[in-house]
Amino acid sequence: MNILVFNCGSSSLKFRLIAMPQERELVAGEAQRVGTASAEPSRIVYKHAGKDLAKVVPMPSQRAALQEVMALLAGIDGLRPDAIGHRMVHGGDRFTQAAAAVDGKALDDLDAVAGLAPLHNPPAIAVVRTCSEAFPDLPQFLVFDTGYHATIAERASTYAIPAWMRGKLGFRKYGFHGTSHHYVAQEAAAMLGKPLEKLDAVSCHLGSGGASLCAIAGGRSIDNTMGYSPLQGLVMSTRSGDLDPGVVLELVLREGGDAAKVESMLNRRSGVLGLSGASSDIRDVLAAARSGSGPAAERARLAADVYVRRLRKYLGAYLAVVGRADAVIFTDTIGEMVPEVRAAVCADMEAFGIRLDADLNAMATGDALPADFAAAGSPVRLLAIRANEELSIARSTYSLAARAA
Amino acid sequence: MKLLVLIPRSSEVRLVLHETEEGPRTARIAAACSEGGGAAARTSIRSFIRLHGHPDAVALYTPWAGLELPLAAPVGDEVLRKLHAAAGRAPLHVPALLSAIEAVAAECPGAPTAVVCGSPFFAAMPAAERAYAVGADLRERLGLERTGHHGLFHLAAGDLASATPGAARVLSICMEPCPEAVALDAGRPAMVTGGATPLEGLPGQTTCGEIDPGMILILAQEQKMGPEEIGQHLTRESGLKGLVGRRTDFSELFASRGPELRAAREIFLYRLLQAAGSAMALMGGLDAFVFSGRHFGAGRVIGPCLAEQLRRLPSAPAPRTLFVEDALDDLVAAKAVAALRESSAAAC
Repeated sequence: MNILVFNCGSSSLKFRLIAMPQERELVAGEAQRVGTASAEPSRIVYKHAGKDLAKVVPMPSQRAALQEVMALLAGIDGLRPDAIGHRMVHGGDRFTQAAAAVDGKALDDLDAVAGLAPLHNPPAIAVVRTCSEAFPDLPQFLVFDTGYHATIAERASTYAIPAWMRGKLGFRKYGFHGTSHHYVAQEAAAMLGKPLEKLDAVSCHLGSGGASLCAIAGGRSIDNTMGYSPLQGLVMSTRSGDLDPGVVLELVLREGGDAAKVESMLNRRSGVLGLSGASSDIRDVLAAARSGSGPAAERARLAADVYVRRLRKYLGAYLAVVGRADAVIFTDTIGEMVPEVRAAVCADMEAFGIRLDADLNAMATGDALPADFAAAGSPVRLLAIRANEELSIARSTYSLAARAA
Repeated sequence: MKLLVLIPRSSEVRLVLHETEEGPRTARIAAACSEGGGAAARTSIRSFIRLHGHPDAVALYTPWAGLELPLAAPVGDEVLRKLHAAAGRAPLHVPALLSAIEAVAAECPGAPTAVVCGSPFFAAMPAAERAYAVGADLRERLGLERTGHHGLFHLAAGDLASATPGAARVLSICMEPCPEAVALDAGRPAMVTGGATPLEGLPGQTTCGEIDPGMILILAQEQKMGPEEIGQHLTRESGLKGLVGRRTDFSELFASRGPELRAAREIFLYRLLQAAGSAMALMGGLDAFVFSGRHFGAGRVIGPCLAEQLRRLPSAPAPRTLFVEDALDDLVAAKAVAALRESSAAAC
């Protein structure tokens, strides 16, 4: 069965066609500059049969992009999808499973949760509706970033706020990057030779943008550092992560009640960028921190220290919650490609059963992944696994589609 | 020596009279709590003196006045200058303290007076723990940094730990209505759950503790609530009250077996377990919990519960549970007496 995965951005539409259950990638690509007025024309770039290809074609909307992508696939032998899996960021409390079939009720529920992720949900919902109308006989499924975290218990998901905020406004911890955490948990279980439902771990999705840790017990998510929104938790590239509520209120007051301005400050000008004053990329900051003296190097050292310290505190917190973990898993850009961060996070963690092998850690990057870089005899394994959210979406979609077929 | 301890807040002032002898310990001989801060402090002091006589010395306490003051010092020009500089950053604490200092000068002229402050304890905390991940302009312009608010209790916890063999790495848990946990590594603060304000960190009896900052922005943008209104909800209607639906305190929470308090108990214990794990990550292990504050007794339930959870870890830590039973005024009195004696000795 060929599963087509769509991952919709505000001006792009990524797609990947995967033959399941073999998990063989048939084509992968991206419709770029969708609906933007730019000097460069919109195009579809894609990889098929070992070749990098491109097709320049006007795509004034996500609907147009979808139609062009489907037309492209229809024009190549063997690339007909049997089902579609759509990545959705936020399912709220309407979608508590990791994946759901698209039907009338699901479309209504999607409209209800559109506002929970205003940059991501609406364009993705538009693609879902277009698909449903244009290809009514093609089974479609939704896979939610929040879905994997539906198993987070009340003691972890409940904020200590008035009941009307929890009820009427739905304020609770949802967690994000669920598709990624679920995927690496599956891969880690396979690497360790144990069933997923027996895996206890902490998964560290450290991206070049967003980042989150996930506490995993019995293969299920039991906590995530992000919360109601992706703003909570770790220090990220431009997001503050955890911040004193009193400070947030002070900022809103000082901006004359302009919450949108404060939102932009905390989401786009904070984090590693805010601390370093120079770059949002922790790799640049680590290099600057090593580079010697002066105010810029001092700021870089502070930024690196705060970034790592927040990670260590959350790792310790989640290892205490999980108890006896089988593994700590690192994934996505920084998790896969920056051994220095992994070394700093895992240093002096023997109390949790963690012993890192410095040489293995240094080699665990790029094509060497997946890799185990724990020292021999370390009770907790340290794994670096390449992120593959599209494959995770394909797995969830195939699981439902095969059952329905 | 009769020492009057004043704990002024924006809406009340607490007065406690202590008797001191030669040693560091003091004994409480009278206490009162008067409504109304600011100008009402003078009336409160006058009434108290009428009942109990003039004190020989006075100690005033504030939980937060920046990091530049010493923990305890006689009131003088330099201390007053630093307090005035900190007033804008601590509107709930320092202005009330300054009013009380004026009231003391008027009602107890000539009595040696010391200010005791909890926040300087956190000056030794690493910069990476104090810094929020926001732009330098915000941090510097607004003086934004993470400090705690119960420094005196944590200092006492550190003193107790240093006198206890094998207790170098401690999680000091101050069970005041706004609770706070500090990781103490050989007496130095390595981590604090609190923040720039008492709202951050552990849920309190009416304070929210850690929440998603994005939710505040939604309340402002979509619910059209102003900062003061939001602050009221998060400061007075949240925490245990928000979870349980009525006022309660930590002593009741951990004495009760009732189902209505179960969820709140589990949430609080979960947050503390995470704090213990974070502390272990920073210190390489954990030797003891030290409970202090008004509801220190809740530690008799909390400590063993946390220890049982942590025993599942590969190193099977077995942190002991210890208690600082002194009330805040006891700690203030001890520090003030030491500072005044030192100042007096230096002057001789």
